[in-house]
Amino acid sequence: MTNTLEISNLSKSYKGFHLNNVSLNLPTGYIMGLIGPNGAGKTTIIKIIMNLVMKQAGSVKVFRMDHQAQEVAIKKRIGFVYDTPAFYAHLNLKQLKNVVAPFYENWDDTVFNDLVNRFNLPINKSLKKFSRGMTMKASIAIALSHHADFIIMDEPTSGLDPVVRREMLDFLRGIMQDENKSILFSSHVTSDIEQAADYITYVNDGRVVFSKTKDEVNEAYALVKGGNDLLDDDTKKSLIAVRSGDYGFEGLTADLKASKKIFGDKAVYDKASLEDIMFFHNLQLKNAHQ
Amino acid sequence: MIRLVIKDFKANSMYLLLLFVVIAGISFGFNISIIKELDIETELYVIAVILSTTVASKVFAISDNEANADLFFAALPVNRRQMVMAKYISSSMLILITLGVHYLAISLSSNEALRLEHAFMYQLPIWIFSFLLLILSDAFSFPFFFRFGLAKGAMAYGTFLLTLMIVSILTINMLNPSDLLYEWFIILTNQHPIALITELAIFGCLILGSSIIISINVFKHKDL
Repeated sequence: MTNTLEISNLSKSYKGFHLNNVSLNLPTGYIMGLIGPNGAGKTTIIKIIMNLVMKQAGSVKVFRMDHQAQEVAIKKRIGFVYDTPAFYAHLNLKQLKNVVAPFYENWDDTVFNDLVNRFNLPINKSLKKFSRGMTMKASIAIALSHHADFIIMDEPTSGLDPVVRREMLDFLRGIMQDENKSILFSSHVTSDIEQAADYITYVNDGRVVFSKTKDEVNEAYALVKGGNDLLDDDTKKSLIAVRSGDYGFEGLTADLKASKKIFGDKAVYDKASLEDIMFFHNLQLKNAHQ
Repeated sequence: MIRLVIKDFKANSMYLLLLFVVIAGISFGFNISIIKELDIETELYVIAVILSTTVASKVFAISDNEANADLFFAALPVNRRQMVMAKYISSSMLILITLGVHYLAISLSSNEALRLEHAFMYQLPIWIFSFLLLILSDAFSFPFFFRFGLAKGAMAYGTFLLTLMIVSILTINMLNPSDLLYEWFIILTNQHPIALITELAIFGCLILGSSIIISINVFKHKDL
């Protein structure tokens, strides 16, 4: 299995933010969802891949090429969608297409027109009059009309209504019928990732908490619930984080087998959603900072 | 790189059309005002040409800044060096076209009497000299814009020019007219126009080359 994207030990520091030793691999033919709370470092990782933000350490390889040394060759095969698309707002979609198309040898007007029709986009309307959903669709149409092998999208579903959002996710799934394509998209909406991604990379506070297949995540994590009498310093250590109240406790484990050994039949074990995983990891982070 | 230059002109064609109408209007208006004896000073026209050309040279930069276009185009198959080079080429072309429009407008709207009265304004070497001076000014300004962005870059460049002006005035005031530097300046300005233009072109190329290298280095490491 070849990797479309290989990131190892990536680091970058801003004032008040550090991206620390981020490593992840995206095999060709799969969708990876980059998830994490706002400000976790998702956009920074994506911008570093695109060489929009300069890394301070580590390596990034796309199609097995260094992302800086082979920047132009790599970008010819990438379709990139920004969280807030930056266009010349005074142009219409047709004019924007005419500006962008010459940059790609593989630009395909048929694909572009198909996407415009599929998304029901007005080609002669000024871009500044586009709604958020239309802008995002226009951005996708522009990004996908040159037969890109690797599609990178930063928060493509944020601010979209549920219908458009579902369309977008279905569209991403549709693209993956071509096994040579890969998609990396970030979102802080867990349901998007659960619906569309094969691989999940969870980023929090500038670190990769995990980068696994969706099945691995589903198998590894579980919610443990029980009475407060089950909790002591030792049992707490087996959980990533715990919240407790009068009703009892609820905690997240990354090792279900080990937790079952510790708590036995006295606890209840539920499947952990991505939202649960994010919540408890965030709680762990908060506890560590206190 | 050429694609980036073409996209500048394509994406801003409407603004350019409007700009060139205004530019032509300034030069045309100047001649009309003289014919109608409105007593507008030639110096004022020269300042208007310099200012309008300087502003025109930054039209693409202003438009890109408004649209956050650097971020968009940096994700296309281009590298930072190409982006920097394209901005220099686009800006130089705008200076050339704007001065060209000024020259055409003032030439086409003049009559024999005007050409005699303001002979220097109709001499092509003067316009070539102005072009080279404006390219030189552009070359000085670009590293500031790449380093600080458009608004802060303009302020930084303004501060730089002001400092340069103060230092120059102080230096000239401290020098005796018989000083070597002053004599050299007199010799330089009394040359044949072609020689002066050639020297300025060579000097301009050196400054432009250095400016491009600095801008590439600045922009290559900049987070967008």
